[in-house]
Amino acid sequence: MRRRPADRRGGASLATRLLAWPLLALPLLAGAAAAGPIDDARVAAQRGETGEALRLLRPLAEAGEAEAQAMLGAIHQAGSGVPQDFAAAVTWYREAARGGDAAAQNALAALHVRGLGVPRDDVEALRLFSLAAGQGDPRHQFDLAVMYDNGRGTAEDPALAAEWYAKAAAQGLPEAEASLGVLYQSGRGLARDPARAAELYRRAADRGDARAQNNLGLLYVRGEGVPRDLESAALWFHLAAEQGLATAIGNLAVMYENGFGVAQDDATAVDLYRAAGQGASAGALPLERMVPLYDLRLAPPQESPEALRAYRGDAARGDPVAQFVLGFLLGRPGRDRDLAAAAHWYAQSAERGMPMAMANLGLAYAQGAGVPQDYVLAYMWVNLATAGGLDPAAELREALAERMTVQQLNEAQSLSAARWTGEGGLAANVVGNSQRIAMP
Amino acid sequence: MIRHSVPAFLALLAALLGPGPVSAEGPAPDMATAEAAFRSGDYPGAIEALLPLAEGGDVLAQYRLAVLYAEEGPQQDGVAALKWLREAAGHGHAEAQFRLALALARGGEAEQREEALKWLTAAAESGFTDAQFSLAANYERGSGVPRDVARAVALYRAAAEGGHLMAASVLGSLYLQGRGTQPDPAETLKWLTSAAERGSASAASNLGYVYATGAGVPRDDAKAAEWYRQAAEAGLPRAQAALAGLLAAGRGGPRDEAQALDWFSRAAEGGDALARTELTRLLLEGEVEPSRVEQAVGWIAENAAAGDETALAWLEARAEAGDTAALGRLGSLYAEGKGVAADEARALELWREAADRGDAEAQLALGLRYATGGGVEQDYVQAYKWVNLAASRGADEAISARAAFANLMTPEQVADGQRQARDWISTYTAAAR
Repeated sequence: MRRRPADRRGGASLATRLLAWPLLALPLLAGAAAAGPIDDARVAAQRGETGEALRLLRPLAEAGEAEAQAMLGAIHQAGSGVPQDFAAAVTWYREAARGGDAAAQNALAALHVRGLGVPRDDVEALRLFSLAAGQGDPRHQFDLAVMYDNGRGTAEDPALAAEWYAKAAAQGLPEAEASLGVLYQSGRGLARDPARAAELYRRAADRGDARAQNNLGLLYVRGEGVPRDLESAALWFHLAAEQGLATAIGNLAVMYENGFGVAQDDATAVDLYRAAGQGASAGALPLERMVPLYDLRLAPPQESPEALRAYRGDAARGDPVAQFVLGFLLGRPGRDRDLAAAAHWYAQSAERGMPMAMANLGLAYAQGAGVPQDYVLAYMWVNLATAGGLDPAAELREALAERMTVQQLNEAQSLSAARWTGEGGLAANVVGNSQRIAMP
Repeated sequence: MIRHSVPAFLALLAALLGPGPVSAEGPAPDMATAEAAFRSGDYPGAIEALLPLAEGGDVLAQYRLAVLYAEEGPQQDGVAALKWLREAAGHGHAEAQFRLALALARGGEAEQREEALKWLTAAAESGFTDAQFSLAANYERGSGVPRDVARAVALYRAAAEGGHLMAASVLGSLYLQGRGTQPDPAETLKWLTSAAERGSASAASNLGYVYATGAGVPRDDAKAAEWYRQAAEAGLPRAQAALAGLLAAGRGGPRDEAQALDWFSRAAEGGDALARTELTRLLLEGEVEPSRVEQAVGWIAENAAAGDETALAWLEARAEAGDTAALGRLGSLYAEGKGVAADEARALELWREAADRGDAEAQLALGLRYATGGGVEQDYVQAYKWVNLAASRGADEAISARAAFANLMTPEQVADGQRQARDWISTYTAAAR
């Protein structure tokens, strides 16, 4: 294999090739003279300035520009920055669809199926789905296939459904692979072929498609298209069940009830049957649902960019309170979420003796959020937090202890003891309960 | 129901409290009453005060009444709104004419749309810039009227001279392209600059183009870079790509490959096809450090999957050189038999190496294989270790896999898996230092 002279094995960084860059500027720029109001509208929409985007789009849409019309439809359908208005969305999508915009055709079709903004009309939906699908987007092709599969807008036609699923599957769409697999498994619209079904399910299952995972499990149970393998079946049911698929939860219950591929366990089976009935996800223990706590003695965290910058500055200079607040903010759901960074800052703060940081760090290790799941380290930190006086951490400690082996517990406890009393131990550093801590 | 395209309350405020006929002593008593009522939120009171004025032929009152009736609330009355709009429009109130046109334009019947056009034209002739812009757009595209770009130019000009931002931007483009008019560099610059200075990203981008290519003006790379930068920072992918090109070539400023790469990446992520092609090319020709543009490795992999042999060869070479992203992607190609003949063993080999180097996706894939015994001996502890690491390194799909595996393992096995993950981390961190 031809190698570049400066390459070094082992992943060390390669020197950037500072060859004279070709004058690519000119050909590249050639396409640049066509920017117009629709670009400004897109920019405004991205910034959340919906009013501005609407103002820019309206005249273009009125003048017949399909892309502008489709964008207007989408804004009204999403109800972002304007009240949600399906009727208005339909009006605009119609125009854009007439102009050949595939996304608009597909969106309009979906509204017709659901009867939103227009009376329910499966026939019209089918027509629109066809138009969109013909333009090649695999998601649109999938939607069309679903109509044929379920006999919506026309008589059921599994063969045609198979054709369109296959087109979408060829482009790598997991849900299409799963649905095509279903047809092969059931011999609908295609000659029955469990082996091919298994293959399709496998590809989609590997990419996390819950339906495919469940169905693959079934094939393993029945030994169809794959050798019979109850343990694998249980595994696939587990994966699908974790994603909340009720059917899989039910299947899993059956496995536990009968000891198929898992140790027989009536109690678990009962829990699973109940969960399947409620459509809840299986095996969800309180530990998974715990959330980081905020130290109520502190002033509420400020979320503005300026405040964030200030926290970062103080955190970098070693202020444990700022480090804690920063960790808390970074752990919150939203655009700025960065679990690994949150754990890092909690760790910094915990090392400097902040009990709440210790508790949240313990939770992070317990849940494997931003750090690998590690009950030993989790328990250690939570233990230190309770030693530092934090009662709420005790609940987490109990939940952890239930899942740990004796060896793990021993290890965790000796680790926490060492940290607590050792040279420069945390006992000396713990930020006390009695002090009133207020943010500057 | 009349739909407005302007923020409702502000428009209402402007309509109610904006300039109107004022006598020396101030607004007529009823108008003052109406304004006071409106300010205190008493729409019905305001309507009550306006009605006699409107019926007496006061055009401003008619318009304001229409706006109030169109507004959401207990006083809303679409029919009345339309009626008063027509009155005001008929008396030459330009904004009423424009709003009437908007209201009618959405109608299905041809006559309604013709009427809409009539009112739009009237509003435009009265000098209402939004209407002039709208009408111009119609003439430019031949929508509802015969296409007449020259007429569009005249209308855009009228609106632009009246201060309409978008009209200025479009006018500048038309002068640049010589559409509907002779090309005119001076006018191009004048209008594009005016719009760009007022914040139009598209105008800034076009202005950048003018200076970069010297289209009828002396080429000025520094100015080109400045204007492209404005548009790039606003988020316009093509401007980002153009800026990247300038930075790469050292035009308009010191050469800066790092920044250029950044802008190319952003442009490509924003959907600019040229930027994506360019990044791909730069990578394939070895001109750029792949770790700087990791996402582009994904694009190359896509090309390889579709049968591009150059792309495949590049991936193989990079994989052999130890590039983590390439290893992971190549592994997936072999696993799925895309662009290459399927080869489980090779896939696992590649994934293993990528996983060892910290690639989250490869770790997830490897973990799944260990769990399902696909090409390796089934080993839940290994499976758990790898998906645990993958989850902590950002592969969200690994989270449910981890939970699923844990449910099938004994606590001892889970403990073992966690310890192995911990060990891996310390080895990995030590190696990275």
